[in-house]
Amino acid sequence: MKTATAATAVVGASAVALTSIKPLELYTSTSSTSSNQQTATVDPFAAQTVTLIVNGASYAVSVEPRDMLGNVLREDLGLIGTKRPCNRGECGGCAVLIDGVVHYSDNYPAIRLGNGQQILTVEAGVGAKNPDPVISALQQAWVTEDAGQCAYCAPGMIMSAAGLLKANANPTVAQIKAALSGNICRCGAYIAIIAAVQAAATSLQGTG
Amino acid sequence: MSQSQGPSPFTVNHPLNLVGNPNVLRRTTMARITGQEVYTADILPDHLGVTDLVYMGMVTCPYPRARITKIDVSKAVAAGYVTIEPSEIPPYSMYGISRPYSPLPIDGLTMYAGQPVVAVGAMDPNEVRDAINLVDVEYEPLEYVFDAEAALQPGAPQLWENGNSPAASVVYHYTPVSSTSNIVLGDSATALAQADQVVTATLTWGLVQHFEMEPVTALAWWTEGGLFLYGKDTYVHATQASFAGYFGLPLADVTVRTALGGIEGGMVCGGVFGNSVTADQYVLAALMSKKAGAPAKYTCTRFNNALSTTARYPVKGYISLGATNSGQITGMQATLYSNAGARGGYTGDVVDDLYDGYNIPNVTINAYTANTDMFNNAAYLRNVGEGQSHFILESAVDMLAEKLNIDPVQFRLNNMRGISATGALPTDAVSGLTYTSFGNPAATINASAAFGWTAAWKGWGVPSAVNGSIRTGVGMAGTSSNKGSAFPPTSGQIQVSPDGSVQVFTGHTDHGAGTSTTLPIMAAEALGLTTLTNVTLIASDTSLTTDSSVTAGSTSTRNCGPSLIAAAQDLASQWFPIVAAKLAAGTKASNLAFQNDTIYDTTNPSNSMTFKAAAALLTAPLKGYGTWNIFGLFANATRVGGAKFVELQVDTDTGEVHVTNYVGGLGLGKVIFAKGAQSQAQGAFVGMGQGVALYEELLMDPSTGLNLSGSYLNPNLLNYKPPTIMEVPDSAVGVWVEQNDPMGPYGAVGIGEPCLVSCEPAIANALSNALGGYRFTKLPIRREDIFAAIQWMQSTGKL
Repeated sequence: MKTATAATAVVGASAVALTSIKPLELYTSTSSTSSNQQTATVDPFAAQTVTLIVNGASYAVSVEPRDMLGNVLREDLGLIGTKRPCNRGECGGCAVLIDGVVHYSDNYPAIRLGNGQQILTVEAGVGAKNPDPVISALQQAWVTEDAGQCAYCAPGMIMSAAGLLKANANPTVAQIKAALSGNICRCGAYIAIIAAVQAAATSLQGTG
Repeated sequence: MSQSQGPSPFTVNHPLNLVGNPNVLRRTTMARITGQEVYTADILPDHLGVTDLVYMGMVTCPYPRARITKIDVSKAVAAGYVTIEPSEIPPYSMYGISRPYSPLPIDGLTMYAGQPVVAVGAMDPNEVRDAINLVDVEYEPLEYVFDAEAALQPGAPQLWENGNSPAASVVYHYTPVSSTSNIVLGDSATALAQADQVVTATLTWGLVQHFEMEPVTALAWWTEGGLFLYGKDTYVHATQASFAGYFGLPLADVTVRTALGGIEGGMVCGGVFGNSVTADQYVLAALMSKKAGAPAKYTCTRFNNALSTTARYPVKGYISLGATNSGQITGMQATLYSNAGARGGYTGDVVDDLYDGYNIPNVTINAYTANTDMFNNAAYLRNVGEGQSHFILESAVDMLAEKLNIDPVQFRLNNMRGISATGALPTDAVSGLTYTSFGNPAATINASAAFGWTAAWKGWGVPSAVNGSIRTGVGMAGTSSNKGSAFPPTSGQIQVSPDGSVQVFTGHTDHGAGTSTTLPIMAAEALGLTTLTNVTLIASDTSLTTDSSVTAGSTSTRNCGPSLIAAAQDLASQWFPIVAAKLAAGTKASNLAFQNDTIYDTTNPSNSMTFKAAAALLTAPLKGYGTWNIFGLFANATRVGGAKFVELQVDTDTGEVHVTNYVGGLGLGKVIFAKGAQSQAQGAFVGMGQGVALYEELLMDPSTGLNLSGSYLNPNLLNYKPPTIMEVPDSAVGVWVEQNDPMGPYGAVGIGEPCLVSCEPAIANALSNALGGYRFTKLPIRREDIFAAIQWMQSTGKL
């Protein structure tokens, strides 16, 4: 099965299980993709039901190919912690983790999911039943360092930072800047944001 | 460092626990970053208890000016979508605007590229684009005008029947202002003719959009109980009055909330900076809801947000400034052209900052405002023209100091207006109004020392360091901002419940400036509390709160603080008799006071009761009411003065600019929310000042050969580049001189806007210092402008 190229546009694609992504399924019926069978033409815009695993819970959702994950998280699952400030992956406000890697959910078709990928949003942090320690530490640090003013960028910032800290427990300032360089904060809280990521890294190391 | 201007009537007698306490954290952050707090753009049908919600989008005009020749919505309607055509919105008067006003074209004429022409509604957000694509609109493009000065010349395309000068109309707000200002003090022509040195410059400031992170959103819902509006709104009570008038409804039948309103967790805006929801969005959402029979939500796309909301208006300024060889400014002449966009009116407040920061005895200022097809509507962006006027003035002041070869800080101090040696406050040179506080010169001296100016400054056009292709320059600009005052009258309430919890009521919202922390601090301090743990804010909801004026103009602290302190006093007058009866026999209620979570007898401090025990004496919640009025708008005007200092590096190989050090010095009143004040000072420079100076401008394409083709190039966050984390300075800090303004609550003034004012000329002046004295006269200073400076240096042997 050809699987590779369609996934290369995904941020951090190297860490994603590419073999799970089947772009041909967007245009063919799922039962006919095996080798010798005649491919049946189906409506390329038809909705499919996918099972999304978000913050540890499973949701069966009917999604159209044009449904981006950010839209599904908010409109279908009610998880409004993920913001859509620009609707097209230009500001980072929609960042989530998929299998530990940062993705802009506004650019990620939800129909590509449903193969066991673990999606994490800010709702996985403080207040969750089994809070993710990295997201929680970042949220605590966001409060103590005053890293959110209007805070509409903060969920995306926090998820971008969570992706960084999960891969690199002790990042340098340059690494923090690089990891958050796609996230825009119009209040200009970047200095406090850097301090918050550093504080979260320190507190996570303190807790072992 | 502090200077006393006498006690404020809006304060308390006990030592302050919460006001100015650096350990008080912003209260709302955790709710906002865990998905608990609902912003307006986040509202879902579930939040309203409904299953159906109409999502809205706009068919927009691609031309800056056109006549609509055809509108056909039949395909969209046949597909089940709801549409609103221009003919369905009778032009109306809103916010006191004298011209006809409609978000859709009037008389079949469009006035700017990106103007909504037809609104569509779909029950599925995915289908909004489908609906837009089914609407057929045809246009006949017309000649247009973008430049404000050109728009006022004979023969220019006319946007309005009565011409392009928006006389006596206003954008949103409250004071009709003539579109032409003429200030004359003394005899500027003679002063400039007799001056030893004169500089003359033309300075321009580009079109800047707010690009606040939460898109502008309006949600309207017609019910049997009336009209409910949920918006990214900074003045819900004004919206309520406007829409009650527009739809002919009793005031009680219109409810307006910021986001979901009410109890905190639902009154927040994701950044506004001057670009709140307006009637444009509300009217369309309200008509859509009425027509569709369901709540209707219009969240602007980034395209809509960039083009069809508001933008900070461009200003072109011609200025001449003269001085004696000894360094005294003697005269100024300035002519300003402000571009109000197609539908803007008020671009005032450019003018007074030109003459009131320095002692200039002879002044002539002519300021003109023009409507153009360049953009929709003029608005403020974290200041009301102060940014533009400071760039014009502080560039010219710097050039004049250079011509006189006087240190730029010393030259400004020589001429700066400020508190006299005897403590007398200055008055406005035109109105005669005496300011209640005035930041300079103390704030400039303080910031200069904090920056280390004396050691850093090596002379005009002499960089403080050269390391290979990296040249380090320093620069500064003065600040004198007529902001941080108030728009009274205002009101607020404080309620204590028997369980000891405290509810603070305000009509204000929190758009990121920290109101939801600052207001509870001021209320809790007035009650003698030492923590905010049991304090809740109920805000920005016409069904639960009263008018507290607009959340804008850096006024929240001064608007809301006095009424909340008055509410605490009213609460005490009801509560203390109940407490006195339970204290030692003969205790007089008039002797009781709040302090340290207790109510105590000032004549016998051990005769006391804890706040919580005193609350338990109540059988029902007790509410104190506070109002605050003063005679005359701006009667307590303040001037937040100071100076901004910048050290930056320019790479002459790449043209890259990197700020290494920023010190923003302001003369403030008492700081209420200390952590928030520092965040504002840093953020204003990092997130906006740098951007406006170096990156940000909404662009049109002037190069397609036809003068009918102007259209925007960058109405998105990718190509319009606000500063990112990569542009963070190595160091950025705000430094204060606290001055105890006698008309401010606890002595406070507001600082949201003054933090930004004059960041841009400070950067431009530092660049000049790094690059051999080359002067940058337009903003933003793009990479090609840096290269022009480098080429100039090479051609003149400076590099």
